[in-house]
Amino acid sequence: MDDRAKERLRAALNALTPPAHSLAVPELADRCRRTLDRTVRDGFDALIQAADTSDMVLWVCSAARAARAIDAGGLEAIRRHFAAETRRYRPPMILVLTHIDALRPFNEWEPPYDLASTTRAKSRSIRAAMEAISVELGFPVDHIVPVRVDIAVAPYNVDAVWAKIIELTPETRRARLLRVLADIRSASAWDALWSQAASAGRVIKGALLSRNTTQ
Amino acid sequence: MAVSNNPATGEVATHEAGFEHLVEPLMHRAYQIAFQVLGDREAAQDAAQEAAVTAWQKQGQRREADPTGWFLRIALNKARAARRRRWFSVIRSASLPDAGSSDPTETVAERLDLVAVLRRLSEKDRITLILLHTMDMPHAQAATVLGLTERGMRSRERRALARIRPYLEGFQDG
Repeated sequence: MDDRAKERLRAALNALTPPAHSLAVPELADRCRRTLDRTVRDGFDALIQAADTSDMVLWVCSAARAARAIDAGGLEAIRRHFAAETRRYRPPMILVLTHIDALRPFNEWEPPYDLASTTRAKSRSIRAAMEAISVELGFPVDHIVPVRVDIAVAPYNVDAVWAKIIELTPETRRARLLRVLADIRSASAWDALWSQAASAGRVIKGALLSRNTTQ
Repeated sequence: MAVSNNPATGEVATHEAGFEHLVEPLMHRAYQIAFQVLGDREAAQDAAQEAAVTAWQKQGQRREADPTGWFLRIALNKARAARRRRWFSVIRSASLPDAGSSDPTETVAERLDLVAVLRRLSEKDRITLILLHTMDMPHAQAATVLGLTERGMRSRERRALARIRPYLEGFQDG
C-alpha cells in the first residue's frame, strides 16, 4: 500500500470514529475518578453505611444510559450486607427510572402512557426498559417507577413514586423497628460489658487490698 | 502509574497513586474502540468508564509494563458485554453513525465509498484497521487488544486490506 492509499484509508477510518473533540477526556476521567472514590475503592462502604441507617432505599437510574456495572455492584453490596446480617431486615428498595422521555421514539412525548397497552411505541419502550433493568439490577418490575423529573419542562409520574413509598411504608416500619431493636441490643451489650468490667475492677481491687493487709 | 518489576515474584507491582495518569491518556482510544462496537457515543463513554473501573480493580493482575493493549482489551470486552445486554437493545441507536471527514482534498463520493466498505467489514476487521492505521499501534500490542497472536494479527490485517483493496486501488487510479 503506497502512502496515498494509506492516507485515504486513514481518512476513511477517521470518518468512522468520533473526533477527539467529541469526548471530553478530562471530564470522563473525572467521572471515573469520582466513581472510584465514592464506590469501588472503599468497597461501597459509604453506600452500605447509608443503607444501614435508612428506612427505605430509592435507587435512581437513567433510562438513557446503558452503564450498569456500578449500579449492579452497589446493589449487590447492599444485598450481601443484609443477607449476612440475620437480625436485620433489608429496607424496601424502589428503583426510580428517570429520563424515560429519551427512550425511542425520541421525538414523541405525549403522556400519559399506559404501560399495559402495546399500541403506543413509547409505552412499549418504557415497558421494555423496565423489564431490562429488572433483570439487570434484580428489582421486581412493580418496584420500578418510570419518571420524567425534568421539572423545568414537564415532570411526569413523580406522584407514582410517592404512591409506591406509601405502599411500602409497612415494610419500612418493620425495617426501622428491627434496626432500632438491634441498636438497643448492642447498647445493652455494652452496658453489660461495662458493668462486668466495673465488677471485675472491684474484685481485683478487693483482692489486692486484702492481700496488702494480710502481708 | 508507577510500575516496577518484582524480581522475587516476577510480577509487575502497581501503585494506586498514579492510576489516573495511566488510564487518562488511553480513555479516548478506549472510547473509539467501544464506539465501533456500540455505534452510540453515550454508550461508548459508559463502556470506557466501566473499563476504567474494571482496570482499577484488576490492576494487580496486569503483567505488561505498557498498559495500552491490556486496557483497550478491557474496553473492547466491556463494549461487547454492553451490546449483549438486554438493556442495550432497548436504548441503542439504529446504526454506526458517520463521524465526519478530516481530509478536505478528497471528494465526498470517494470517501463515502470507502467508508461504506469499511462499515460493511466485520467488527474485528474494522477494529484491526483502526488499531493499526489510525492509532498506529504495533502489531504485537494490537494483537493483545483482540486476543490474537502477533501472527494472527498480521494475517487479519492482510485479509481486511484485501477486502477493501479494490476501493483503495480505485482511488490510486483516479
